[in-house]
Amino acid sequence: MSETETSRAVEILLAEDNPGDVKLTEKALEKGNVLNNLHVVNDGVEAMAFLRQEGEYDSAPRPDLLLLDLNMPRMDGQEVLAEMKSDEDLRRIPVVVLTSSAAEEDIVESYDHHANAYLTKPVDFDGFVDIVGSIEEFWLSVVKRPPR
Amino acid sequence: MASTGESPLYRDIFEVAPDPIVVHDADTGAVVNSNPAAAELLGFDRAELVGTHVGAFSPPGYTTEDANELIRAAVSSGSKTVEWAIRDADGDKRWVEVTLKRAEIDDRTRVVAFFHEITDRKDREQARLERNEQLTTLIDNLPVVVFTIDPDGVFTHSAGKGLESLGLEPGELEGVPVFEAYADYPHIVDAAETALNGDEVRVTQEVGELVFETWYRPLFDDGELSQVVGVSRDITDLKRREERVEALSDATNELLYSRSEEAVAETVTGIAQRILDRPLAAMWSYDGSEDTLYPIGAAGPATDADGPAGLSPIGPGTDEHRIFHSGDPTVVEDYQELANPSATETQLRTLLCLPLDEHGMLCIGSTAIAPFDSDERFLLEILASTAAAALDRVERETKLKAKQAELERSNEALQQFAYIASHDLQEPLRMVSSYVDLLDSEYGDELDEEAAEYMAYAVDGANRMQEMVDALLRYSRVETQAREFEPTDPGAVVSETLDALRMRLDEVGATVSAGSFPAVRADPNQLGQVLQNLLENAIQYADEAGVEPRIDIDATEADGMVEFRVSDNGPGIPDGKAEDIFEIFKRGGAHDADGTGIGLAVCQRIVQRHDGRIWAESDETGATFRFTLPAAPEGETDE
Repeated sequence: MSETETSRAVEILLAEDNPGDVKLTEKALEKGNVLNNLHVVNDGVEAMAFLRQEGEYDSAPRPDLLLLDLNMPRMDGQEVLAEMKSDEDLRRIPVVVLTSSAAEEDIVESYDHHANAYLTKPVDFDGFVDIVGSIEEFWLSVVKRPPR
Repeated sequence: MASTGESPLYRDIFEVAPDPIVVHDADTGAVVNSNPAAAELLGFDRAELVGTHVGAFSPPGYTTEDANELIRAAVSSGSKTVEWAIRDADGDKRWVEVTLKRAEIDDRTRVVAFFHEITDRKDREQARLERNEQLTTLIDNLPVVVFTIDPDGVFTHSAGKGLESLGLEPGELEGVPVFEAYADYPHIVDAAETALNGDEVRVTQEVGELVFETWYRPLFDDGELSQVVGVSRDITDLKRREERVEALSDATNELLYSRSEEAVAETVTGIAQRILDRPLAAMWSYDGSEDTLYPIGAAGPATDADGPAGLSPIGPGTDEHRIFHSGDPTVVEDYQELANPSATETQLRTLLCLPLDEHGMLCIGSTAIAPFDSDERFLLEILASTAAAALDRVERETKLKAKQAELERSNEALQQFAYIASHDLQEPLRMVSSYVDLLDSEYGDELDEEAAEYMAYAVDGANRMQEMVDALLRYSRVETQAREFEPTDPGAVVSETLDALRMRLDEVGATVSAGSFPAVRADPNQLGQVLQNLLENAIQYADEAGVEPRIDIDATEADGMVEFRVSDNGPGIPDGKAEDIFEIFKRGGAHDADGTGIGLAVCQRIVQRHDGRIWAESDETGATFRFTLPAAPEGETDE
């Protein structure tokens, strides 16, 4: 846990439709050393509702970090990015795109939509743990996040 | 004249004179005396000759009366000269000039005939006369106009068959100044003036519908212009032929850019109609599935009314259909006489049909009976073969375009596939390997040895599939991440590639000798990729075979392409596998260091993208890979 932060748990929103990946992310975060609350939504529409505290998410916390999959039903990750980053209130929430795609066009488009980072999911579990660990380390410990 | 009978001197002179002399009685014409030369010439004995009348040795046609007439004339005028053709003693014809002189000898009036032989002179005159006649005949019959002009510009002579085309009689122009005769043709007057000023002139001149090539040559006598001689040749037909050939060559150029059958038909029928004086030209396209020729173009006033659409299709059973299938150019002397014409209501008479290979047929005709001359046929056959070639090209281009469109579609499909491979296919794959990992890390302790082995197989399978997905992605990126071609120095690319492979080269003790490399037009990154793949292959296969890799790289330029050669001292390629190895995922136990067997497929795709080709050869000394890339055009330099 970061010494410079208050000891409250960080709020992480994971937008991911694949339950396998959700589980892997949970497992990887368990192995990390940051106290966190992981919230999961399964598509872009739910992600926007969560961020805007609408409907069933009216009491949802404002996330410190959004882990965003690109390929999701109803509203995909790029659309979520575009909408968030054009919203003055939501645009400051750091977004890490976490996806299986290594396609150049996806990477370019994500940064065009002002993603804060783009990571490709590794094939094996150990690699996955490493990468989630790096996210924790960088975005939740090293980086000065905007005030909530 | 003194008496010949008195003086021995005169008698001697008389006797030895080389020219024959005969003395006649002025009243009777009988011979009184003659010298030996006369007897010899006339073939008489001297004594025999005395008393003979002059008529006895006059040439045939002369009567005694004629001879007496001459004698009398000589007596009355004192002298008379006549030219005679006589036969000598040997019967040869000889010319003599006979001068009859009146003389008083021994108080009697005599007529002395002095003969002087002029055979040589007469022969020369005769020969000259004959030659002149011959020359005149020659000039009169030359197919040109021959003329002379005096220093004042007046025609002094005009001859030659060429006058006929101008409607002139030989000699008609004589006495007429050129400035008057051709007042309406300033270019002729100009040319004549230039020649009269002493300069030779050779010009092409139009006179009405006709075209002449005329040569004016001034002649000089002691530095003074004496006359201008000229020859003028009618080259109207030649010009017409030239124009036809030019029109034909223009049409050929135009046909190079024709994009459709119809455009070819329009050009070909237009030109056929223009270069020949035939009102009708039409073209048909052959539809093999229906065994019928359909009209695709027509030209000429006669077709304006109905146009190509008004022309009938040519179906089986018709005469034209048969001509098309014969493949030979065929003249129909009279269309109206055909047993099975395809068009029943037409004024068409003489027709030339030229089959255009399997593409169709070109027909040129007229509404009158008018045979085709060899010139027309020659031009039309050239036109037909040009048309057939143009149709060939149009067909090839159409196919190529379709192929290109198909290729673009398949490229798009490939890009789509690559995206799927990179994303959707990886997702489940990742699930498999991640959860096998997770299973291992969380429950590994509880599994027995056999279960652990199963899991290792699962992991291995997932890893290999991951590699293949990555390889597919690399393959698709040959297109998706391609760059523009630019002038590239392959030598620099070879150096960079060798630098990148330095560690690996040192590790296996490989030696690489690089030759010289002509500049190419290529995507330098992709050239590097090809070279790296081929080098890695060479290193790996030689190394695996237990030899220190020795690799030669060089390139030579020929016909606008640069051929690269990468040869190694490895085990070579198994028999019959030299082509398989370039196929995607096909290693065939052969020569592709890329674990997935996609390295050479990528090389082939890159080379093909550059319009080059790649192939492999192999023998007991090793394998040689060759590939071609377009040479950099002259003047383009490496940046």
